[in-house]
Amino acid sequence: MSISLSINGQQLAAEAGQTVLLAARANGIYIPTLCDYPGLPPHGSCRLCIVQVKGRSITPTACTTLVEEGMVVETDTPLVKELRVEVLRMLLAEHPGTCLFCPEHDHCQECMVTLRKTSVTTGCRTCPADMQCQLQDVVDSIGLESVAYPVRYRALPVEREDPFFDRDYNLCVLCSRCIRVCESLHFNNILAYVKRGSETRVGTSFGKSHIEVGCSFCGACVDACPTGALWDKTSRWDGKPDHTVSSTCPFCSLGCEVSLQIKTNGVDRIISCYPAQVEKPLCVKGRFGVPELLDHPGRLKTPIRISQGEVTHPGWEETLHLASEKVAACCPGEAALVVSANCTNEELFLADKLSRSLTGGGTILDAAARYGDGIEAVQRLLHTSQSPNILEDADLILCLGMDLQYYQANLEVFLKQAMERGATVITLNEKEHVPGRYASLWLQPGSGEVETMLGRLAGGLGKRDVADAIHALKASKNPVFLVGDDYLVRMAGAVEKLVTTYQASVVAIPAEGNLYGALRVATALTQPATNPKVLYLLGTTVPKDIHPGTFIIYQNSHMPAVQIQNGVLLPMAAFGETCGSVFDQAGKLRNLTAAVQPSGEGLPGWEIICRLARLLAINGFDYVSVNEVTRDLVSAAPSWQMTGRVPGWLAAPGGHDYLGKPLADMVAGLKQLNLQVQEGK
Amino acid sequence: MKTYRSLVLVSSDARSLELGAQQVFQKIQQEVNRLGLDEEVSVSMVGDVGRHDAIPMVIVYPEAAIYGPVKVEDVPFLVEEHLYKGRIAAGLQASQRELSGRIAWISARKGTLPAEKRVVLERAGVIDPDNIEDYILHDGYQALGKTLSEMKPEDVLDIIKKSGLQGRGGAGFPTGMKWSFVAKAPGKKKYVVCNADESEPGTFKDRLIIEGDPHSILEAMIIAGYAVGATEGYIYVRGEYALAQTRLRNAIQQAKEFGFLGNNIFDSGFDFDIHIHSGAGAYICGEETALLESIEGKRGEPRIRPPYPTTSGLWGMPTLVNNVETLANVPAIIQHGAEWYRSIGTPSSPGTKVYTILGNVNVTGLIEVPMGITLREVIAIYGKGMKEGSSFKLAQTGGSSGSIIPASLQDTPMDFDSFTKTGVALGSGALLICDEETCVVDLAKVLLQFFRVESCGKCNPCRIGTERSYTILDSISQGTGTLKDLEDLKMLSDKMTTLSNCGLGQTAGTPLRDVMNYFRAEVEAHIRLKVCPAGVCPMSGRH
Repeated sequence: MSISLSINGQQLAAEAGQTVLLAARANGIYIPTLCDYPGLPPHGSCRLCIVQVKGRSITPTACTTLVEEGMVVETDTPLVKELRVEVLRMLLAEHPGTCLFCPEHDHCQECMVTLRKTSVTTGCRTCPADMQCQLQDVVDSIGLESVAYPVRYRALPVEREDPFFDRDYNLCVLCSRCIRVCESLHFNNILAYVKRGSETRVGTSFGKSHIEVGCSFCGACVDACPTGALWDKTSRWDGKPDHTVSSTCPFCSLGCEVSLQIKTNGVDRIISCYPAQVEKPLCVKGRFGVPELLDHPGRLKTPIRISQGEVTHPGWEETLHLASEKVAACCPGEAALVVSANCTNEELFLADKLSRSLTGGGTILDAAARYGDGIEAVQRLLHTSQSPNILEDADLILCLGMDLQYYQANLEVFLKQAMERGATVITLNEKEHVPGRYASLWLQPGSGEVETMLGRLAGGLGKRDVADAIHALKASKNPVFLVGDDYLVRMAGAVEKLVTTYQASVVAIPAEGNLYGALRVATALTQPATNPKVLYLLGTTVPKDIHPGTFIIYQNSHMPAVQIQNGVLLPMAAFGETCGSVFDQAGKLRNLTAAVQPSGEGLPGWEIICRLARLLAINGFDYVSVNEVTRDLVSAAPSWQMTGRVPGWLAAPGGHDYLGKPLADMVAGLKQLNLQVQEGK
Repeated sequence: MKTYRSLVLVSSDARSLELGAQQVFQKIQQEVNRLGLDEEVSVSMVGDVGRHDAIPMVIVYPEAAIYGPVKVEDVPFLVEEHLYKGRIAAGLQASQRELSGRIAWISARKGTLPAEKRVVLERAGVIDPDNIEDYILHDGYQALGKTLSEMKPEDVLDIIKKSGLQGRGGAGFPTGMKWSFVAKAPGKKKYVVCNADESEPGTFKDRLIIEGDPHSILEAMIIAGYAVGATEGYIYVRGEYALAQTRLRNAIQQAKEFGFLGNNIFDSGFDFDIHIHSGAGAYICGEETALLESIEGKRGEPRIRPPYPTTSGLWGMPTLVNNVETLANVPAIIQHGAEWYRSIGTPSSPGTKVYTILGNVNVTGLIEVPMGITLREVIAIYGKGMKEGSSFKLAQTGGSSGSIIPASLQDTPMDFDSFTKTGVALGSGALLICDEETCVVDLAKVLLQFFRVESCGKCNPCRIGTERSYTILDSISQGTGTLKDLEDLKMLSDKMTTLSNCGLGQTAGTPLRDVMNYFRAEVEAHIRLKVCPAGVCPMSGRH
C-alpha cells in the first residue's frame, strides 16, 4: 500500500511500514545517522536522525517513526539542527576528535604517511578510519567546528590478541551495529553491551577473547562499524582505498560475491576484501584471507629454472622454451598434466585442451585423490547441487557434516532464519559442531559409525536415536540436505543414497573453489606412466613419491613446499590479479576480476598455457583475451564423466587449500584458528 | 471463628528480622505455651509497622501497647507481666512520644489522625502476611469472588475507569484506560506484569505493601487478568527485596492451595497463574519496557515505543504493566465501588497516595494519605515538623527522577494535576525533606552520580549527558566551575529531556533544571565567590 507524505515540503510516496528515514533516503533526502544499518531493525540510540513532525510535540527519531498518510515531516528546521549539534557535541565528549578539528587539517591532506625518522611534519594518521569514517561524515554534514565539552578519553587498551581484526573501543560510539549484526547472522552473540551507565562498552562475555567465546570471525561486525573501533589488522593504517572492484571469493565452492578494496598508492595492492552486499556476509577465509595471501613472502615472482638443484633466473622466453623442449621430447604417455580444483575455468579448459593434444587423454584432477572412489558420487551430487538460497524455502534442513565454526560460517544465517520460521533443522555429526548447539535434533553417531547411521536413515527403519529424524524426513514436503566437505570426502556414496531415498534437494559444498568447473571439463582419469618423464603441475603441489629425475613444470602463484631438482617454476597470477571465471557449487558461472597487477613478473595462468602451446606449435591457442577462452569453454559440451582410477603417485591435496598450499600456511590468523580447533577437540 | 483475649503482633520487616524478630516471635510462643495461654492469646508476625527506631517491635492488642526494641531475654518478663498478669510490662515500652499517637499506622487505628486514610495499607502491619487465612478474615479475596461470580470483564474495566485510579509508579497514567487498551489488543496470549522493581532511591512503599500484605497484589493481578483477558502474570521484584520475594512465593503457594490461582478459579472457567521474577540490581529495569526485556532474559534496555506494551509487550504479546501500589488499590475499588473511591482525594486525582518521608524531619517513615494534601501538611502533621534547629529548604520528590520543590511551592496540593501545572513531578512517592544544611550543588551531584551509573548506556544523550553534567557539577563543587558551566548545564538538562529515548534520560535533567530555576544564586556563589553557602562542598580548588 502506498502512503503519501511530505518531507521538507516535497510530496513523496512511501510504502506502509516504511520508516521516515528510509522513505527520505529513497527520495534522496539525507538525514544524518550512525546507528542505522541496512538489514538491521531500528535501534534509535544515536538520536541523530531526529526530525519534526507536524502535530507532534516531541522530536521523534526518523529511524523509529513509521510513515503515516498525510504526515508532514521537516528534517532541517532550526530546532532539529540545534538538537543535532547538541547530540554531536555530546558524542564528541567521548570520542577523540583530533581528525576533526586539527587546525592543520587542510594542509595535512596533501601530506603522506612516512616511516622516515624525520623532524618534518608528514601528516598524522590518528585513526584507521580517517577519511572513511561515518562520524566524520556526520560532523561534516552538520557543520560542527569545535569541541564543546572536554573529551573524556576512555583509555581502554586496544584489544589485539585475536587474529584478523583489532578492537579499539576508545573510538566506539556505541551504535551497537556490531552487536546487532552479529545477532542477526549467528546464534550465539559474540558481542554485547557490557557494564552500564557511562561505563557502557561493547565487549564479550567476561572480557574473554573472541577465539575463546567462539567467534567465527566472519567480520560482519568490522564491516558494520561506522568508526575505526573495529578494523582489519592488515589494512589498519593503509588509509582510504582508491577504488573497489567486485569479484568472487575463490576459497570455497560457495562463490560468494566480494568487493576488493584497492590502493594504488605507490604499490598497487588489495587492502581488504569484504562482502559485496551488506546482507550477504562472508566467512573468515574470504573476508580476511586475501591480502595476506597476495602479500605472502612465498610468492613466486620470476620464472625460475632449476637444473640438478641449481637455480637460475633466465627470464620468461628461455624458461618457456626449455619447458616446451622437454615436453616435445616426450612420447605420448610420458607426460602428465595435473590441475587443481582451485584453478579458473579458463586454466582448466586450456590445460585440458593442451593435455589432449599432448597425451591423448585429459588432465588429472588433484582433488580426485582426495575423494578417491567417492569421486563419481561426488560428481553426481554436485551436478544436482543447488544454491544455498533454496534453504529459504525448506521445511526441513538436514546438515550432514557441516561444522560452521569458522569456514562457511556465513551459512549460519540460513539456519537461523529457518529456525525462526519454524522449520526443522537436523544435524548429523559425530563431533562437537556449531549447529549441534541449536538444531532441533542432533544425531551423533559414534566415531566410525557415520556411514552406518546414514544407511539406517536411508533404510527408514525407525529405531532408537534416528526414529525422530526418519519421522521428520518422511513428513517433510521440501527437505534440503546441506552436505559439507567432510562427508563428501568420506562418504559421498552413502549421502547420495540418502538423498535419493527422501527425494531431497541437495546443497553440496565442497571445499575446493572450482570443483564444479573441474568436473565439468574433466573426462577420464587416464592412467599415465607410473613415472612420467615430464610433469606439468598447474596450481597443484609437487607429489612426494615422484621420481627425482622427473622434469617438473610448476606453474603456481606461490613457491613449492618441496624442493624441485629439475624443472621450471612459472609465476602465475593469483586471485585478484587475473580475470576469469569459476563455477560455484550450484553450477552458476561467476566472474573473477583482475583488480591489481600480478606480483613480480607473474602472468595470468591462461596466458602461460597458451604461450607454451604455441611454442609446441599446437593449433587453437591463439587467444588474445581471456574472454575468448571463457566463450569457448561455455559453449563446449560439459563432460561430467570423471571415471577411472587415480594414479598412485598423485598426492591428495587438503580441503582448505589455495593452489596446492594450505591456506592456513599463508594466512597467519587461520593458522591460529586451526590450532584452536586442534586444541579444542 | 475462634476468639482470643489478646492479639500479639511482632514486626517482621527486614531490619527487624536482622535484629532477631524471629527469635522474639518464637520465644513469645514458647512462653505463651508454657503459661498455658495459647487458647487465649494469638501471636503472629506482621509486616513493617511503620517505624524503625524501636525494633523488633511487639504490639499487644486490644491495649495497643507498643514494646520495643524487644530482645529475646525480655520476652519472659513481657509475657508474664502483660499477658499473664494483665499489666503493662514496665521498662520495655517504646518511647512515650510515639505512644501518644505519632506513629502513623497506630494513630490511624486509634482514630486520632483522621487525615490518614488507609486503602492500600489497610491490612499491612495488622495481618500475618504469611497466613492466607488472616488475609481472608480481613475481607481478602472477596473482591475476586465478586469479580468472578457477578461481573463481566467489561464491568471490571468500567469500574476501574470510573474510579479515576491513576498509575502510582510516577507517571500517573489512567489505569482504566491502560486496562482497556490491553483488553482490546488482539493476541493469542496476554500477560499481567506487576512492577515491583521499586528502585527510586528513598522509596520503599511497594516493598512494605508486599511485605505487609502480599495477597492483595495477587488478588489484584488475578482481577486484572480476568478484566483484560490474560492468563499469566509476572511479578518483577527488585533483587534486594529478599523478604518480599519470600512472602510472595509463600503467598502464591497458599493461593494455589486455596484455589485462588490455577485452573478454573471459583469454577468460573478462568485460569490464572503468577510467576516471580527477581531483578538483579538495575535501576533501568523499573522502566516498563526494560523490565519486559529483563523478564525475557535480555539486557535491561528500554524498547522503542510505539509499539507500547499494551499491544506488544512480553514476548510480543499484549501486556498490562502496573505498579504495586496501583494494583493494591484494585480490590478495595471492586469491593466498595468507584463512587467510594472517588470520595477520597481530589476530583482529578482520586484515592490515596503512599509516601515515604525521609530527611530532616522528626518522624520519618511510611504514610498513606488522600491525594491533594500539601507538603507543608505532611511535614507538620506526619513529620512532626523539622528537626530542632533546622528550617525547611527544599523537598525532593519521587526519588531521583522527581522534582526539587522549594519552600515557595510547599503549599501546592500533592496530586497529579496540580503538580503538572506547577511543573514538578509527583514521582514514586519518596519525600526527601532537606534543611538549610543541604547544598543544592551537592544534591544535584548525588542525583547525577546515580543517573550516570544507572543509565543503560544505549542512547547517547542520556549516557553522555549524565556523565558530562556530573563532571561539571563536580567541578563546581570543587570550586573550579565557570559561568559557562551554567549554560552547559542548562543545555545538557534541556537536551537530555528532549533527545533521550526513555524516561530515565528524559527525567535525568529535572534536578538540574530545578536547581537552576530555584537556586541559581546558590550555584553562582559556588562559581563567583568559590563558597558553598551550606558548607557542604569540598571547594578544594578555591586557592
